[in-house]
Amino acid sequence: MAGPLEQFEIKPLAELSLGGIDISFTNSALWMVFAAVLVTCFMTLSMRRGALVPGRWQGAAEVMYEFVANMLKDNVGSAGRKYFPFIFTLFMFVMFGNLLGMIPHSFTFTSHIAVNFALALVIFIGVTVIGFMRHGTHYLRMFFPEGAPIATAIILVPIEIISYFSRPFSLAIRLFANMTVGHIMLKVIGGFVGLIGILGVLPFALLTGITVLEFGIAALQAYVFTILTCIYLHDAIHMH
Amino acid sequence: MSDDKDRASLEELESKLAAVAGKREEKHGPNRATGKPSQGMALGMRISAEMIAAVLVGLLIGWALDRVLDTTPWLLVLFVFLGAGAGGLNAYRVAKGYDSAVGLGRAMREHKQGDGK
Repeated sequence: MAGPLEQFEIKPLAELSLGGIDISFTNSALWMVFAAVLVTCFMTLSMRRGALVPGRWQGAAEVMYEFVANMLKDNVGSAGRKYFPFIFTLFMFVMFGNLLGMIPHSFTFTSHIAVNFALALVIFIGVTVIGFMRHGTHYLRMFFPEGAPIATAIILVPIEIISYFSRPFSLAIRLFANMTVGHIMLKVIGGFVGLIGILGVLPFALLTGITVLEFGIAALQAYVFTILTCIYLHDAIHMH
Repeated sequence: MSDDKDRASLEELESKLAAVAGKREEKHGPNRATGKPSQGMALGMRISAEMIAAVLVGLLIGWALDRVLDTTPWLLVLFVFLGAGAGGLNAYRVAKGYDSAVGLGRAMREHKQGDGK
């Protein structure tokens, strides 16, 4: 019986290196490619006909599109419309990554903090650049809470700056923690099923429930990741 | 068949709807979902992630500044405490539903305005 943590092991499938840096094509990269290809196929194939009355596949694709478009509109406003392609790609990539991880013997690339942190860092840098482009140095004013006595600036400004820089970390940690915990839990409880004989039906029943829950978490965490991106974008665009 | 005709009338309807929605947004600003505190497990997960992240960032900044300014370990100690403060602040924001907006005063004011309308 494999240990509960073995499922997160990175295995190089093709050894590559570029100037001494290991850029091997790993199982993690393979599943990222799967996610990207599947999202692309799902969107392009289901929208191929573009009928006025959508069929089943087109309906599914349109639900995704409208879900993200509404999320962006509600949280950022119409100024956020031009960031839709990025937000939509992000949401679909993370969600497919989470859901593909639910296939037995697959690899969940969102359970690795390196992957999540890279995504979060792109968002963080992008939002900061957008903030400075729209507001110039005025953007720095958000590091001091309005209405606080000026003497408290010496404590509050560092705290606000740390709070700002903690964004990519909390984004990455949250997704990573949720995915990792869920998969370990599945593995550990799954291990009990065979071990305790006839009583194994109890953990098996539990396992069934948790699997359903995990599918929910997979979609929910993709949603949370995306909506926080929208909120950060809102802050950068509309700082009053 | 009548697809083209339907499409034309639908497009007309859509442009009317867009005009109305645009007017509403002009008046009230984006119809932003005022973040209500979410439930149980998800909320706990969010708060713990916020607190860990802030302390981690404080630690990193303190460590980096110490290395640059050669003041080991004083800035590290200072920034861990500041990080814990930021973590508390972030947790408070999440719990109150102010989201992770930087600038607590602004978020609170926005929140009040949101309730007022």
